[in-house]
Amino acid sequence: MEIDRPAGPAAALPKKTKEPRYISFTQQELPACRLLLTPAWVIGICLVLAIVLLPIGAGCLHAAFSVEEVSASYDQLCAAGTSYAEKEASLLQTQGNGTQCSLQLTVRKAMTAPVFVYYELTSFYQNHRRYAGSEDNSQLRGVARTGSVLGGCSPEQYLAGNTSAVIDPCGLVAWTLFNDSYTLASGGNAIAVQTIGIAYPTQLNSQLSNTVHPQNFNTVPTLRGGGTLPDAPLNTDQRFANWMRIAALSRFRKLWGVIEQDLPAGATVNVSIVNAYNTYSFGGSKAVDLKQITGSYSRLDPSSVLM
Amino acid sequence: MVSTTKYNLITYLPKALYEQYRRVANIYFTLVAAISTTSISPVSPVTTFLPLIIVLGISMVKEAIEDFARYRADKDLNNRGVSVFDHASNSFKDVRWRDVQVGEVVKVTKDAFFPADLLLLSSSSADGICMVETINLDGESNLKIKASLDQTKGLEEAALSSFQAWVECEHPNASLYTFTGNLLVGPPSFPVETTCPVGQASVLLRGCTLRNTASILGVVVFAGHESKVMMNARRPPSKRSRIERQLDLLILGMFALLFTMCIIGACCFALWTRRLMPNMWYLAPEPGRVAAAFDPKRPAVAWFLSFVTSFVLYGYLIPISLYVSLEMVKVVQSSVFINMDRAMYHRESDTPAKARTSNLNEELGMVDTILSDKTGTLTQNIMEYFKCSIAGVAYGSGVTEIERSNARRMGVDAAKLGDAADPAAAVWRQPGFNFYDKRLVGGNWVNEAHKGTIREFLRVLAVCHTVVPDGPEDPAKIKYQAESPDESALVVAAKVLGFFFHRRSNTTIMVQESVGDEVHELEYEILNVLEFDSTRKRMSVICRTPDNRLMLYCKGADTVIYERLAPGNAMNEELKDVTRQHMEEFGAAGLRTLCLSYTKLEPEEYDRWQQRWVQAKQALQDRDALVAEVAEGIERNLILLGCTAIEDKLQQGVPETIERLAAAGIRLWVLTGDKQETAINIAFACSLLRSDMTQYIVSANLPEVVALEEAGKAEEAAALAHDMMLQQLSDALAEMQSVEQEGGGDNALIIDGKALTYALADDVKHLLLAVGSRCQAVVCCRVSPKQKAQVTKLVKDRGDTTLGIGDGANDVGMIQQANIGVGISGQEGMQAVMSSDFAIAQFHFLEPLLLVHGRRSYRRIARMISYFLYKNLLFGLTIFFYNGLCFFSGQILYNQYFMSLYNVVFTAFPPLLLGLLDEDVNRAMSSRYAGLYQYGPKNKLFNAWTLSWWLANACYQAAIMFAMVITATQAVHAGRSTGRPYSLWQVGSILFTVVIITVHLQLASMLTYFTWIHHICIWGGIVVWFLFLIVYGSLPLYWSTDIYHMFREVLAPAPSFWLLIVVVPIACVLPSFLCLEISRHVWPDDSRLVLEIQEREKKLMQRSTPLGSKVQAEEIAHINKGNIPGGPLQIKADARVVLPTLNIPAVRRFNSSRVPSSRFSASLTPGSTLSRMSPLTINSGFVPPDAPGACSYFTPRAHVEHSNSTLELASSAQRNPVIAALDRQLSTNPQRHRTTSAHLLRSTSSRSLMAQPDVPGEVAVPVTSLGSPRQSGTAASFGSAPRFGH
Repeated sequence: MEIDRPAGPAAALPKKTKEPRYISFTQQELPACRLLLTPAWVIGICLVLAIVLLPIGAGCLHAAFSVEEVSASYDQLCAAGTSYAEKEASLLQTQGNGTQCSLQLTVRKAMTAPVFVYYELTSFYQNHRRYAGSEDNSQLRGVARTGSVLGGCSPEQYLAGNTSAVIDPCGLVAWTLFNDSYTLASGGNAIAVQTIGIAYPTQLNSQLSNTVHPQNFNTVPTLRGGGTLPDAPLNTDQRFANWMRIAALSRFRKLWGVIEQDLPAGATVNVSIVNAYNTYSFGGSKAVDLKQITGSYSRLDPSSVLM
Repeated sequence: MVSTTKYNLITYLPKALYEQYRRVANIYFTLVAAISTTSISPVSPVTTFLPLIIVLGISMVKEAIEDFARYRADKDLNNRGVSVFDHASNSFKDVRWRDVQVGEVVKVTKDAFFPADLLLLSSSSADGICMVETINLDGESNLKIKASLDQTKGLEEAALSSFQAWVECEHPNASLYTFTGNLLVGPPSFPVETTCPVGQASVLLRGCTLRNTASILGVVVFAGHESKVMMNARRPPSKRSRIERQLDLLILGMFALLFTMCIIGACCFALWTRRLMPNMWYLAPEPGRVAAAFDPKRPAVAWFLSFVTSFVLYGYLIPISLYVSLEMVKVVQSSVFINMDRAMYHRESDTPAKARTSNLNEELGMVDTILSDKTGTLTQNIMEYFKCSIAGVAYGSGVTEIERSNARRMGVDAAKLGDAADPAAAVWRQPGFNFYDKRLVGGNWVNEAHKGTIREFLRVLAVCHTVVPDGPEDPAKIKYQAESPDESALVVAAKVLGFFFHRRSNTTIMVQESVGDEVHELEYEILNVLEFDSTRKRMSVICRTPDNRLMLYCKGADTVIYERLAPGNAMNEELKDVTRQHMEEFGAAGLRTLCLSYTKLEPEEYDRWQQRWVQAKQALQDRDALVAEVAEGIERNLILLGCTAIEDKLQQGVPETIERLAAAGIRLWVLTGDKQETAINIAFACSLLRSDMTQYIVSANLPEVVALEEAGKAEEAAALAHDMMLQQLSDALAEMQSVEQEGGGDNALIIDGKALTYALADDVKHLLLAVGSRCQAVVCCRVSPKQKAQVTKLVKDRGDTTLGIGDGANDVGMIQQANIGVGISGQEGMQAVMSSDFAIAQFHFLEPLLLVHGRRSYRRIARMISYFLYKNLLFGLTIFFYNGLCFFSGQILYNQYFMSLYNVVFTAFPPLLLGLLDEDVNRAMSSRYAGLYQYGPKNKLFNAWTLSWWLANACYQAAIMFAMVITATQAVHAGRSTGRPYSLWQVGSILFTVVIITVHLQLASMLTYFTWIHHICIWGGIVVWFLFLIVYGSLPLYWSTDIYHMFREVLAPAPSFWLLIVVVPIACVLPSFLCLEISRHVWPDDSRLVLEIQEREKKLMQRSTPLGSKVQAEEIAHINKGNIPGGPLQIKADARVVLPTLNIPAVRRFNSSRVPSSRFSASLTPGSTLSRMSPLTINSGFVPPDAPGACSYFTPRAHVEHSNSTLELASSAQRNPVIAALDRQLSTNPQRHRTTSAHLLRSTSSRSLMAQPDVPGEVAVPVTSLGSPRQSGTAASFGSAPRFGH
């Protein structure tokens, strides 16, 4: 038999080595630093954290205590009756006009402008999934939407179920707009409450229409207390804008207005309330707050951390 | 046409999807995605579909890429051309492989591949044989000889048109090494009708190459998918790692948690809806206006729908991208870290390590028991003819390494053992031959007394084999192609001793016999070859000698040959005992022995046998059994000639590796086909057995059993052996237990294959396991491949993680059975590698594979999964908590895109960091303190405790961050000077930012190892989130919805936002960080201690050597001043290097004898390279590896401060007893995880189950023999010199 070693194509080629190349990543030898903390380091880190955080905490505490705030709940005061049911009944008797009442807020320390006026609701689940999603961003923006695509607004989509009467702005959020109103006076002088600048500019500029006027809006006198939206572009009503920014919790405050004048210490602010919004049915409370953000607070806003 | 692709264009989508949906998690996520398209979903479809599509997409694209590669390979194969005989045109024409049909005659030329399984009809060489290379099939590179049938070997191309024959054969099957079929020939092509048996010797398999033969003609037997190689192409069953199985359980646990949360949510929601909601007019609860999901009148419906809603909402508990991330990490671990590791590259064979599966990386870190083959795994499988015994005289003067190591162990000077360096020996040395005895070499054997026997002996060597010569017929140049290296060594020995086998044809073997000065060219006619296999353990050749005698030459294992010796033959009686004694001596020296024998056949007897042989060969059913039975009939009445002894050297680094693995607490079971004595000696040589171990020898070769067997009472013998086995094992167990109570010591079990057959019986095997698991080393000798697999299964079924390592076909069962199969790509072909999960070139690569890669992979995967669950639970819990504040109505706090990208973008990288780059101790340390490996087998990083820690941490962090962010943002004045309170989406964005920062900070706080990639991923990950928030917020309102301008307008100007995202993550991470650091210092675990030793050494080294500095002329000057450089240093010829008496301050201050200064100065000659001193070398002057008490430790427990000056004085134990003790434990007895206390130097000779006859003049043999006196005799024979220097 003939014997010769074949010179196959593989033999002709220069031998290629399979040796892995040295790459620091593949050899797992990337330049690295080790961080083995000695007890001294650990204690040191804790000390540094303490040194940094303690003043911050102190600052926060100071700021929290220095915030001047007066508030009073008025839901019990402003409706006749002893139980929630009786109060609700008396409120509903007014057919949406609301009951009138007033309360005195005493300013303990001087408040300098701007002083913010808030209303506070409790047990009101703006964050309920049924509620929070019940609005239509496009419609609010003024992009004309017909009824069929506004399913997210159900059940407040058409006025009284009439499909030709599309509610604008539709949905539960807009439909349940807070409708109590406050008139402030001090020492017999009315205090002007501004609504300018209480909402986020972006919301007014982009998220709410500047042309579309509300139509078919809630005029049902009971429950939210009647009254419709002004016949003006949506973005002109900043209280409405604030309402549309749903709150994270069921107890929330929203900005109602700003007082652009100082309130001296000891001053008594008389708040006249039109109590129209029904929180009695679900046992929620209502309150009104006056609050000023001090100068130091507006520079550094740490008190929030400590409530 | 062959297709190995899994998909085609049409089936790709459905089939690939089906593959993906075999994972339960994917079904869950699809279900969730489907729910999310309905109105009851709390989230929009984008939240669920986006991650699902990304996750499925990555996996499916990977599948598609892999499949496309297969498609291209197939296309290439299918379009290859081959010549097929065309009856119509009566000539050959070229067709493509895809068109080759069964029954066609093809012509294959030299160096071409066979296109199908062919039956060899004829070849261009006259005797009808051809050579094939099977490297593509099984990786074996030696040429194999294939022979055509006598009836067809003369077939020529011209005669093809009239050629007619039939082939009947077995059905297509996957067995590469068998073929059963017949060729039926008859008129018109042949005068008489004949049935010719066809065996695998005439079959050419697809994928092999034709070599050394101009061309062949063959008929296609199996084509395309039916060919054997394609039948074989299915992938072996994939193995799953222990962690992955645990992960399944864990996911089930998470599902349970998910359901609990869903039920809590649904119950609260239904209750509140029924009781409170009717009064909430602002939710429009009136019947008819309210959707079913919120209907207070139908709380049951509300409950159910709320349950479904929650099911979608809390999906984060089931980590969707975990599987994909794991897969990616494992692929990189195996294909980059393992395959490209230079520490596992074998230069001589140019073989890097190869991970053939990526499933088992972490399993490598959890191995309890290694089951190892011996030959080719522990040894090199380079066989050298070393000694022999002919006619009762032992020849050969060499001393094996094993004898040397035995001698060293017994304190005998190795030089006295024999003159291994006889200069005369070197002349005869060549590959396969390391034999020298002046009585035999150079033709001197003719002067020996038994020259006739010697001559017959050498003839057996030259004739009885299946070796194929290759190359010129010159003794100096010829090469032998053999199926096993033993065979080739024997033929080489015959050649050197004067019987030069130089040519083989199908029926003849040509041998040049030199007797004295005469050289005869002799032709042996080979009549039959009775081939070797592992059950027969012998091979025979029946030949007609030149002087017309019929001879059967047989070589085989001693047991099978001795059984077949002619009884009463004078020569046999004379040689039997002395040869056996020689074999035992050879075996004790670690040599492999084979007995050589012959018998003369009578022609009539042979003719009768030949007929039965042919019939058996033609049988279509049970052919192998029949053939074996018939072969049995002629291999008898043998006459013993002597035996050969072949040395198989230990592979490089085997003893050290075995020591390391033992130090890592891994039990090693060696399963070998060798004799007991050989096995024990090899085990000693490679440090598997140590003299301080108590050996328990279990054997079934008891005289009672043997007596029964010889009397032909096989059943009774088996029953007795079975009982004896029970007895021996329970004795051993009792002994071990009593010793354990006394304080223990290391045990070793030696058991032979025959004993194993009984010990593996159902009622005994638990005993075997109990004994085996108390042994640090187990040696099973004389085991069959099947027993290897059985033993593996036994150990595995006990719950151990087993690793099977081997190199040969006989290890395949073991490799496939074990949890991890490792193949050694060595001398014996690729079959083991083909069935393995990891392939390495040398046994000692097992150390980096297990101790480095395995350990790291286990640690990385365990931590990665834990972290993954942590971050998902953390996120899921914040959603759950918030849900509790919104009536459990299912309202989400976060933007949809935040949620959908949480896993796949924002927190995708930290787990990858843990999975790929995390590292604790470095390579050197993981070998030095091998005991650290025990974290894996003990599963210390992925157990209920560590997982609870992580889950508790997630719960704590979720609670604290939720409480802090919610309360802080609810403060009325929480806005800014504008007085605007935070709304829902703003709170959500703040909380989400806090979540992102916390999970990154948590990662950073637990790491001790940082590369630039860590910094990019951790800090960059946080930056990516802010970038996303900004970019997404700048998109048109339609896309960004509530996030529109949020960062710019709401968050960035608010100091409270910045304060929150700094303070809250710190509050979240600080407790776990302190907890971790305190436990590291007060209860440091072993890995922490080693890490501190490592860092301390590094620091000390840096102090004394300018590490990493560039090699420059200044540096040479530096050396001249007496400093040692840190890098490899090329001493330039023109640089005047003064060989200094090195003034190494650190070294000089200490014991100068420890670091010989010559080590440094010797290499400093011009032009030479001064190699970088390894840290150990440099440090050995002052931080000896076994006394790192020189270091000061961070841990209070070990915190004894030492200044460098004190180092000079005291021994490490005096300096720091705590650390010295710890270090001793870690480095010398790392099994402290396994055995609490071990009296390592316990004398073992005092324990013996049986009274052993005192051999005069011997130190008591430290073998606790459970066998017979015959056994102890055996023990004595290999322990004939004192084993201990007590």
